[in-house]
Amino acid sequence: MVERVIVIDDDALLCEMLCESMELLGAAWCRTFVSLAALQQSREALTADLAILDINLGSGKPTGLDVAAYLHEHDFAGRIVFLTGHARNHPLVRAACDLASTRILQKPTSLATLAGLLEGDHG
Amino acid sequence: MDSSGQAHRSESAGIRRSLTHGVYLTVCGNLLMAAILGPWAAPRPVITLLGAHAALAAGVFAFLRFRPRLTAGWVNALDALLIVPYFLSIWVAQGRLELAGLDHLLAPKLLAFGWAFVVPKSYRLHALFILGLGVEGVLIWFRQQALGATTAAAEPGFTVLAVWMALSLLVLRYRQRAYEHQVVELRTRNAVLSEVAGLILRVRDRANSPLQRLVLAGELLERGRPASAAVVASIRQSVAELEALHAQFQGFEPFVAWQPEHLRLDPERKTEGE
Repeated sequence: MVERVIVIDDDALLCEMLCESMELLGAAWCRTFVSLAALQQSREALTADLAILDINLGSGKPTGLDVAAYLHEHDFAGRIVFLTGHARNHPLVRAACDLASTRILQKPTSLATLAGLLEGDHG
Repeated sequence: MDSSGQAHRSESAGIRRSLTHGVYLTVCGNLLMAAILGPWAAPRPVITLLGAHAALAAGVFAFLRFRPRLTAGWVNALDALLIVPYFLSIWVAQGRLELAGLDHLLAPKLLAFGWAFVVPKSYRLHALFILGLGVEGVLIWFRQQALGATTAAAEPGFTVLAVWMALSLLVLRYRQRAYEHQVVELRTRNAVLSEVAGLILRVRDRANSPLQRLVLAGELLERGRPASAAVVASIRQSVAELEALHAQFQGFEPFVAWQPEHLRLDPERKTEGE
């Protein structure tokens, strides 16, 4: 069972909604970050069991792929799940698909899907 | 500029260019024929006829310069104006060519190929003219026979063969042009579809976050979770974003052409218990 979750999305309201949902579904704690820079300030983030990353974090800003690379570089042991509304053939989404041991979720995703992530559903 | 407009302009330019080539061929062909015939028999009526035809072609050239838009009817009329006098000049000049030491059926053969190559608009019209050349060639041959003039051994079969080859070339060129049109049409349609698909995906991208917030807010409320400040803010923000997106679409209203299938505006809704 996943206990610690981090959510990285440039949409702060959506981050809050996702965290509220995760906590309702049984996560012990959930932290939100709106950018890679914000994530880099937190040591706690690297201890999470699950990272939900938006792929597009704003024009000209590091993407969810950069966040995933940062997490890998810092020995992040949890699972990484990308959450995106872009088409599957979007270059960033294709690049995310190419990453090993990651999963892509299409927006809008439901509470049931999020619950599956907490239960360790590897889809 | 849109791609269909570009294709149309390119076709118009091609027609104009082809007519201009027809003018050059007519002027040069008539002057050459006059030069060949002139020194031997000094046939004033023939030379006058050839000169008049060249002058007519020059008139067509001037008309092309001053008339910016040409309908299909105008193109075909100008094309016929360049071509029809040839039938008369070939008929009148045939005996003279023989005097010049040339095959008197040389002109129909050369013209048949020329008319297969230079087609401003109507392939049917040119097919008709090329067939006419074949008929005229055979008639000339019969006339020469009747007059007891010498005729080439392979005639009129050789002229008929040349006309058949010219017609085959014309058909090939017609098919090639049809394929080219098809390719241009497909490229245009592809470009439009790609543009529309891009627009739809951009709209979807903008609708994704508000939709995701609304989905989660709805499910949280369904599960009896009290509406937190985040949930309320999310719903408000999502509605505002969707309203802004909706407002942006109003700019497209003047461009739509309503089709019968568009008249049912809303998707079918099922009422509860149905």
